[in-house]
Amino acid sequence: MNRPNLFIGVILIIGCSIYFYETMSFPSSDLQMTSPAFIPRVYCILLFILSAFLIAGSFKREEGGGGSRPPFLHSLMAMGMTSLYIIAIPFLGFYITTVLFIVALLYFAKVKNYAVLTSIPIGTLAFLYLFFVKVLNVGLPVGSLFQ
Amino acid sequence: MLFEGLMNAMQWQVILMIIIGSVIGISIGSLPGLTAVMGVALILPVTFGMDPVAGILLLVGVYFGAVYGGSLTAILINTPGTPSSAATAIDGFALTKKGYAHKALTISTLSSTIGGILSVIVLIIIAPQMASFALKFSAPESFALAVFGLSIISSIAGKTLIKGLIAGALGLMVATIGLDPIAGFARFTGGNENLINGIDLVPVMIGLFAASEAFTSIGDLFSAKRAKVVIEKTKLKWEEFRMLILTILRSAGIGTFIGMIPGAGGDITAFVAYNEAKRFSKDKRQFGEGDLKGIAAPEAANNSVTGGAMIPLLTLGIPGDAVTAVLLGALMVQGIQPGPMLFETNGSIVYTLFVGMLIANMIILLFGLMGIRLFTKILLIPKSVLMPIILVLCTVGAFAINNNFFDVIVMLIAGIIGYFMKRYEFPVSPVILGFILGPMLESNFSRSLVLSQGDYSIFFTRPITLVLLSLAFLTLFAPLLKRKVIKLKEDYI
Amino acid sequence: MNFLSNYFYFFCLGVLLLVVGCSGEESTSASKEGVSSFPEKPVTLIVPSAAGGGTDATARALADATEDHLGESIGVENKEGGSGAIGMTQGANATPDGYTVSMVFVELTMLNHLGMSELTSDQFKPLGLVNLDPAALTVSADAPYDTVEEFIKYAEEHPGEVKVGNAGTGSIWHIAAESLAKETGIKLNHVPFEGAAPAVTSLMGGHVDAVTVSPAEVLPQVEAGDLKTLGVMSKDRSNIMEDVPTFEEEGVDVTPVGTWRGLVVPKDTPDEVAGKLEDAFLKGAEEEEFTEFMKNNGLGLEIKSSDEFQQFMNKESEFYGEIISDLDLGSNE
Repeated sequence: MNRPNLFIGVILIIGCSIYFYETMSFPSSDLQMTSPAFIPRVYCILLFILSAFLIAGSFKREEGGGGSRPPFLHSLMAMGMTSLYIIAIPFLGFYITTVLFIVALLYFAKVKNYAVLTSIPIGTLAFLYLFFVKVLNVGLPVGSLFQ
Repeated sequence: MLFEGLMNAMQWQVILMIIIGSVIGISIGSLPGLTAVMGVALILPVTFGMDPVAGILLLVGVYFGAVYGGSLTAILINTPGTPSSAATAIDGFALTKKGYAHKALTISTLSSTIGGILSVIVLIIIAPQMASFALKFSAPESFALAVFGLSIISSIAGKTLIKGLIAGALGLMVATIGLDPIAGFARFTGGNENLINGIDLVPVMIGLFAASEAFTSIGDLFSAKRAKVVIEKTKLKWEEFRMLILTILRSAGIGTFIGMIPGAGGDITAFVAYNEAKRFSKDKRQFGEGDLKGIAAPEAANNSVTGGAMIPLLTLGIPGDAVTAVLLGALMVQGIQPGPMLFETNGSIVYTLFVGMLIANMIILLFGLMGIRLFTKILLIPKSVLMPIILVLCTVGAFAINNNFFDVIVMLIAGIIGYFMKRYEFPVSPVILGFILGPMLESNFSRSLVLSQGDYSIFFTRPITLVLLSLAFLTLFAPLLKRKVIKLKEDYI
Repeated sequence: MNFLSNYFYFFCLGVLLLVVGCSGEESTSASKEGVSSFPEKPVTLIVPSAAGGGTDATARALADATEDHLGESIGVENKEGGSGAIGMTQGANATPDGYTVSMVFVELTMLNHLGMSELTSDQFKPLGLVNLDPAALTVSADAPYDTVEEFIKYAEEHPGEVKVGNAGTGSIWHIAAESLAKETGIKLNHVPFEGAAPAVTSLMGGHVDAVTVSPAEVLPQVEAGDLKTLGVMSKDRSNIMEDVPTFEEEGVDVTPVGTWRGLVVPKDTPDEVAGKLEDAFLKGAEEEEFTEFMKNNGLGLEIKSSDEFQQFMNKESEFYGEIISDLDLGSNE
């Protein structure tokens, strides 16, 4: 029995149903031969069948060694930190948040060397500034607090 | 003419521009999110004030460099810099994990430049004939090509076909968000303006490959089993390279051909070439685990797209993809009107361009080979230091595509989904393949029916369409049939 | 050691890139002539389409030509997405101090009717129009019709069989073909493509019978003799195809349809500031470097002042509102 596959299969089927329900509200345009809902429904049915296979397969006996995945707590925390970083950019601007984010993530990854903790954020920012702002003319967000 | 072009191109200013362009291109290509299109578009304004030849060749250098550069990070840290390099990441990163980064980069550099040079030669010799063939591609043919492309999921799916197919279907479904290609109705947007034109491919790709890889690596830092990085300095042996020549030639052919078809670009090409390399290979087990052909094929193919894409641009004045659309603008700003008359009105400039393209490939070869030792150094940077930088690059890269913060959020979500996909052994490349091919499949399917006024026989009565659809069928069902046959044999012997 | 070499590499790269970057920047001479303080800092020009496209190139060329007249630099910022809705909406919501100018195009007067955006032209104060490109009916060179009249006659005899390629359902070139069909009473088979270029490609390959895109988009193929343009849907002939008659000259009466590009600021921008911007941009649009650029790119130069532009937009909006509801295209909610 493969629990993750069963779980994922069920989620996909629920997703499929919502997606299919959405297509019910699409208009059938008389300008064209196929309506906007046609192809999405084909995909949806396809995914539905595939998910059913995945669920059916998940009841079979494991061929051994499937259950030893590394714990994902630390990865989740990294995702959380990245999300916070991305949420903060529009307010605090790109430069401050980036420095804070890199330092925090380095510290989190057990980098305690001060030389690295200072040089990496500064080096990254300098490179990004030169490359994006100066060469490519891409304005990086300054943040609503400083506008 | 060619000689005149050679003389024009051999000026130090021109060569310098090609070098600068290639270096910028390689850097742009290797950064996640910065694609060849974007690089060329961003450098374009710089060329306005320049001499036409130098300006255009600067852009050509950026274009060629970016296509090549995308493979560097794909091979080294599993983060393809551009969608064209997504196929390279499969076997390239597998080789790096085994310690063969040096060899993998050598192959990628050699295949890339050979592919690039061959395609320019095709461009020089038979561009007009090729172009008239490209025009035969109408909606049903493009539809069939998209179906064929999708069938390739079966060869890149990895361990379980069903999970690969699910990933592909997810990619197709995400691609339906936004205006439908025929009636112009906004689907699945929930009223969000950012979704009207659909989700951009690039942030999805950065998230699925690069950000998810960073999340995984950070997690690995804390788990007990930490693989020690080894970089073997084993050089590519001549015998190994000889085995690849056929693959490179075939892939370059595929790349040039698909490159000239309007609406199909390097991303699809690389997957098709990978698939064909696997089809023709005697030993298929190594594919996905680090087969040298798995690098040579997509790299030769995606670089040969560069010459192929120039064919309709220069001979018909028609841009086949986004990069050539920007190049068309660049040529026109310089007062050069691409099209059937170009070879007569601006013959010497055209041949100078051709020579410049060859030089650009040589320069990439030179820089690539010289840089391999430098590039592999990236593996020596501790993961704990590299991953925060990659996450920042992902963020900036996603933002820079459209200057739209929404894309950054898309990147983050894709990154989180990508992490869980990898964790539960769903391959991510099929998502990209589905995402790229979905719109092409749908719009051409519907357009075919508009053209035929609802008659489905349009899909079965045209030779190119028929060939491509049969190829798709073969690709999708061959592995299944083979397994059946083997099983039958085992049962009865 | 390894860190050092990596940093050294990035440093070298940075320096190299900086050199290139600077060579592209032009020194802006700040000529202070006005008494009032505007402008005191660089002006941003929002372009609601991707870098490298025709609209972007036009905006950049115009910005370059205008900087001297404005006395400040003008930075172009690309905001692609939603057929221009995203960039234009941002332009409408910008601080109305004159430091954010937007380039808008014909879609501004269509998006609302198509149900794709809340945005209307009323949210802006127009500065001026710089470009207008009419729709042109172009067919394959060996097609059995040589004039607009013959084309219409052919379409009448073969109702629904003539395939006309356009740049996407709801796009300006689709509206052009629909409007042509409606006003002449013929029935056409409209084939949508992802933009004008693939439609022209398809016409070259003989997969469609005609396209209704701008003259610039078919000029190279027409010059090479592969395609022929039968007529332009405008009051005057196109300056890049002077031998092609207008529909009116051919005795076919249709409403002029075409794409255009103009400059606007948010509604609440002070008149004095808007007036200064209008002056600068209209002077910039008459500069030789800009007119030369438009000519090289086959773009129709058409300059309208803010008042003319306002009237023009009102008329356009009304026309598209009618035709879009006639065609039942505004089904997006």
